[in-house]
Amino acid sequence: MLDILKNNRVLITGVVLAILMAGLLSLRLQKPEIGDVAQQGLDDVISPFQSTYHKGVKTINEWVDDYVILVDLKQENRQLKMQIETLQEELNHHINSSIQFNLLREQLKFMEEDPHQKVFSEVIGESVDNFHHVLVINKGRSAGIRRNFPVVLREGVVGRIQSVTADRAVVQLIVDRRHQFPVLIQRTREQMMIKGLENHLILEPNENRGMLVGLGEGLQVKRIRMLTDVQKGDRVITSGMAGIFPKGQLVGIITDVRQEKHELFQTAEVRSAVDFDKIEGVFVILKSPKSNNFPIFSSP
Amino acid sequence: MKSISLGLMGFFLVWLHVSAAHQFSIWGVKPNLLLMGVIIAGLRWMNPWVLMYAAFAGLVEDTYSHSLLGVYGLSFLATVVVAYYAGRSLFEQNILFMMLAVVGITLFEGLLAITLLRMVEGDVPGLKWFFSRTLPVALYHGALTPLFIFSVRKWELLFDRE
Repeated sequence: MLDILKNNRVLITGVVLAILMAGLLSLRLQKPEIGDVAQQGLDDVISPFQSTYHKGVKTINEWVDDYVILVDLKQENRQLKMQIETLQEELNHHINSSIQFNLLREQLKFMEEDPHQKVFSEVIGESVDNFHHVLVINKGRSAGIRRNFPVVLREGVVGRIQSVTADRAVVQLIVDRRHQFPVLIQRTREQMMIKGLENHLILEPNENRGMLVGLGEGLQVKRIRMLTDVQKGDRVITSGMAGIFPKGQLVGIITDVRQEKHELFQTAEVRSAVDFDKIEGVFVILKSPKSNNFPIFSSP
Repeated sequence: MKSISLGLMGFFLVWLHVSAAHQFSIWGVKPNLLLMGVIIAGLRWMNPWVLMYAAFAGLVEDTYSHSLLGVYGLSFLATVVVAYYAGRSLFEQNILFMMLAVVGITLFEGLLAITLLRMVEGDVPGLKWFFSRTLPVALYHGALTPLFIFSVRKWELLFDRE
């Protein structure tokens, strides 16, 4: 018996692992909360690596900014040039600080003005495959974050919590192909559904409403009825109907409306209000002013 | 000692991929360093640890993409087996053959992952993804293979000397 096990150990390991993977997948699909336990385990193994890298890169960048540039200049030209460059560097530093200060002040203002209770979290990673659009943030269940909680910035809607562990959460961006939610055209109050595209967002109707759908890196509203008044430059906001996002959050601006002759509907391209390439931190909404436990627009 | 050193290299790859893969992206295409590691491991060795590493790497990939644990776990597991049989049937394991094998197996893994994603997520633009994401990644992996093999060999030699 032992010999059989020994001789076929590769095959047996392979079969056991394949069954384990299939089991995990079916568990995740049927009971997401149980699957979270396995994800927590993996996260515990991986997160120290990610945090170390994040801190390391930050430190190196600061070091490069502060010292390396100056050292190079010192070699090129001696004292006078160095002094000028130092002053320029200082000026840059102050300008950067000022810009950063203004950005943070804006976000702080948003934090204070917006009635929802929020937690600020730093972005520490992004999707590791080429098919999905997610961000990894450095706060999780211990900060009160739960699955499906909305993620926003002052500029607009960012996404929703896809999965959460004790100290990490994965945010599914609104431009992800799997994302779609109801929105309003601010000017006309027309309801639509929006969806993420490979490169933009599209809007499409949900019966009588449009739906904004995530499709990769952009948004689009598809199948808008011909008589619907949609114009380039219209602002698209959340309708609050999906149960995830609070009403009135800016989603994006319509950049193009197409109306093909042979088609019965219009299609609108939407440029997201948030620049996803430049996100360094996000707010996760924890509580709505109308609810004691969870945001009323979110499921626990 | 050699297996410990290879294990360490495996963990280094996990760290590099999860933390810094986006730094190596060209025109928005990120190399899948974990997948490359799994393929190279499969082409060179086969034992229960290699299988376990493939499953672990797949689960890490799942965790930081769509959060559906098991999709990449299964596809990486199948990939390492395919890589092992490809490695055995290669006429000779020179760099060119290895590059072609890595490109081919990456395409196979992409096809498998897209098929599994179609099953669990639905409405996946399979063909589009295959040509716009999997194919460029496969070619990128092919180009990175010599560097990868060189690093693995150097790493092995370092511990062989001891």
